[in-house]
Amino acid sequence: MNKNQVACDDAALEAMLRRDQSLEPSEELLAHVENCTRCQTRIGELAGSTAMWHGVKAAISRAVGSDQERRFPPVNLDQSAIEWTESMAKQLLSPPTHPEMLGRLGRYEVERLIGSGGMGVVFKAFDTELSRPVAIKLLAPYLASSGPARKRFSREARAAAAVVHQHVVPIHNVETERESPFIVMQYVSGESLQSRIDCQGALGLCEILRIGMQVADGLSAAHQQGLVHRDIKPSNILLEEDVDRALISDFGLARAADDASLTRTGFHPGTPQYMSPEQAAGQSVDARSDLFSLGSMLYTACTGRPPFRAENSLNVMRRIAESEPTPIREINPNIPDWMTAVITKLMAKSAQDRLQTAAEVRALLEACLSHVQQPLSHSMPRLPWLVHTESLRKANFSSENLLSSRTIVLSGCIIAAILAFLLLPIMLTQLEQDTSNTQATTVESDELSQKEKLRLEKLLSNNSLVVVGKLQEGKPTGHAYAHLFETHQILKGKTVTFQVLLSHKSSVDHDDPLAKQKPAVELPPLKEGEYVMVLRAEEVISSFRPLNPLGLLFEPEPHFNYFIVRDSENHAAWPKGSLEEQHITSLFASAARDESN
Amino acid sequence: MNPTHEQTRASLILRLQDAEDMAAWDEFAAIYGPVVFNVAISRGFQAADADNLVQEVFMAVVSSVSNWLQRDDRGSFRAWLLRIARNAAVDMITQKATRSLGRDGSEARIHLSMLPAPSELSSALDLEYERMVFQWASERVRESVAEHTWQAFWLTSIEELSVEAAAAKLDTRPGNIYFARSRVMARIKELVQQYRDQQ
Repeated sequence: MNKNQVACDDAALEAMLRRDQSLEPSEELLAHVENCTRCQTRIGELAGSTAMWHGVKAAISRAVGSDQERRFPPVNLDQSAIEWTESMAKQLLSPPTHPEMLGRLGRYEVERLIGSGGMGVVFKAFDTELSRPVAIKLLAPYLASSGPARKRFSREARAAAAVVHQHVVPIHNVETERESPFIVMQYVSGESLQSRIDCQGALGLCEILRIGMQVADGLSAAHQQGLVHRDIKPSNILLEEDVDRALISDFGLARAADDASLTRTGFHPGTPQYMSPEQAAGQSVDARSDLFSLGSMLYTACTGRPPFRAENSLNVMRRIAESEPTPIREINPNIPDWMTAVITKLMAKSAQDRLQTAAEVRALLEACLSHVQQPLSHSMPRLPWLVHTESLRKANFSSENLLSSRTIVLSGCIIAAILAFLLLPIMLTQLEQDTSNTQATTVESDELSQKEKLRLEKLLSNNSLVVVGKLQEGKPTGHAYAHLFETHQILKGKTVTFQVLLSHKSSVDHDDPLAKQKPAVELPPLKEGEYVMVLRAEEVISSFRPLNPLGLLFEPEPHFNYFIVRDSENHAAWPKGSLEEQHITSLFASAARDESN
Repeated sequence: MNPTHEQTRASLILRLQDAEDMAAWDEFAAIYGPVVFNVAISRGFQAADADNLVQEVFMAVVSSVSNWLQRDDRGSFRAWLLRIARNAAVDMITQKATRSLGRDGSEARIHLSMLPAPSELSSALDLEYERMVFQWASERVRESVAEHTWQAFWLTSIEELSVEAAAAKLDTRPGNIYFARSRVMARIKELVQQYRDQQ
């Protein structure tokens, strides 16, 4: 350190942090701090601990990224282009033949403006020759005046018109002879994915998978014809009303916009938020670029916000090239890890690390969707990079995690269960042993044993059931969820009422008057982490033994008719008529009475 | 806010003589309302339902204010508010999530996935509260310091610019950036501390 400067002086630094802001650091102190790395660090430490700096940063970043966008508004890149009004748009049209119409374009009666962007405007119109509603996209005048842009516009529009696919908006006509060229497309009544996300926030997993699968399907058809979309983003995905169908619009149009605007002003009219890194870097792109954009779009559907955001387009593009987006589960913990793995895979910076074709993506998302909708009959697709994240998940134990991992574990188990049924006669002796030894049968802490599953399935398969769970504050409540979830899976399609009575004693402060309110039902005291499952069912068959070598006798087994008690390690069942059973059932009956009153 | 809140306020003013407590209540509502809202949303509540829940939590808190007033050993109002609100929120979120469990299989699945474990819920509320306090404190500080002071903090710690880059951007010398950013942090810490001490 330079001897001529003042020495390090914590007191002087601290004085500068005190409330009185009129106190400005002296010239010497400023010079010292600029040259002394120790003091540079020290002043930060004096102001607040590292945890404090991190905490504040995380809280603010999150505020910026969520509900408080009004306070720190990011530039809306789509709107940085001209905001069109009906009267402006009207100037591009011939006078209407009906007074209630906005204007006319050739044989099309234009009804109203339905959208605008950097590229131009979109009208809802009526095709007077074919008597059908259409959507007309008119190229913005500043683009229309550029010769190459016009040529490309017409070439790409014609190529796009050749893509006939149920998930691509059909193009009826391309008019390029006029002053402002336009494209006539099928009118899709509904909303764009962007507006759905704007009003709902993050979408549900099934919906995301379905939309993703359909978009990948449409992309696959276009890619096979050598056409790259280049501008896959939520506002280009139309969701048909009343039908679960997503359609890709604006094929090939981004290219026309690129040519004209980049040469003219260096300004990209659309949003770069969904660009691939190779696109942002101005390199040549292929079909895999669309897959990156599809990944970004799915990210947005999962989190309600685009993955890369910054105050201007240039910084957005820099982030796309350099940084990783905030992990999805930090924003929306309901998205399972395998889904985030799929999206991460699509959003690999390098094109060769992504899935390589839209067809692969479609097949994968389809398999995922089947799995989510019918976990019993469709197992989760296994891919090397999915297995990897699964092992990560196990380390991170939370109830949501557990549920999602359950789905995966379960499907495997069900196959085993079916196998077990096929091998039933062999297993019977074992089952019998098991049911006679009801106390303290050890189950693996993280998973029900096959025998347990079989028995549960049998137990629950006959009557309409009421399951009462009492979840207590305590560590392994995840097990209770797992079991309830399991029960539900096994009972798929059956009428079940789950009544879960929660009491969380250790979280309750006894000074708190609210905590003193008695729960509706007092269940017997349980150890930490225990819960009770009461199955109100009459004759439930829960065990069976061989009648003779040719057949089976299903014998009503009273031991499990009413309830099972489990904790993380043991399960126990009290016999019918026992004191415990009487107590619980009477409590249960009174709870049911209370409820009906 | 809606009439319920106004009534709440009026009845509280009658009961709470201490102006400081009144301010604590307002501040607390501003911070804890979003906490309950955000946690409820993260548990799959619709926005409108989450709004209702916030109201209900505060109504529950208000209804027990008299208990607090009657206590001889009553401690800090703010600490008490936090405790009551946390318990009320845990209760109500769990009740709401389970009340209408399953008329058929599919519905039951949706609800099951929403079922929060009370302990996990309680810590989610605390975590969210901590974040919200940070956020609230940051906003207060932002309002109270000069714009360039705030920018020095913002550019270096949120946007992660180097001190030199921030100095160039704000057209000042790096030394000023070091001081300004830490001043902001020191103010935030002061505000946050008020809450920390009372938990």
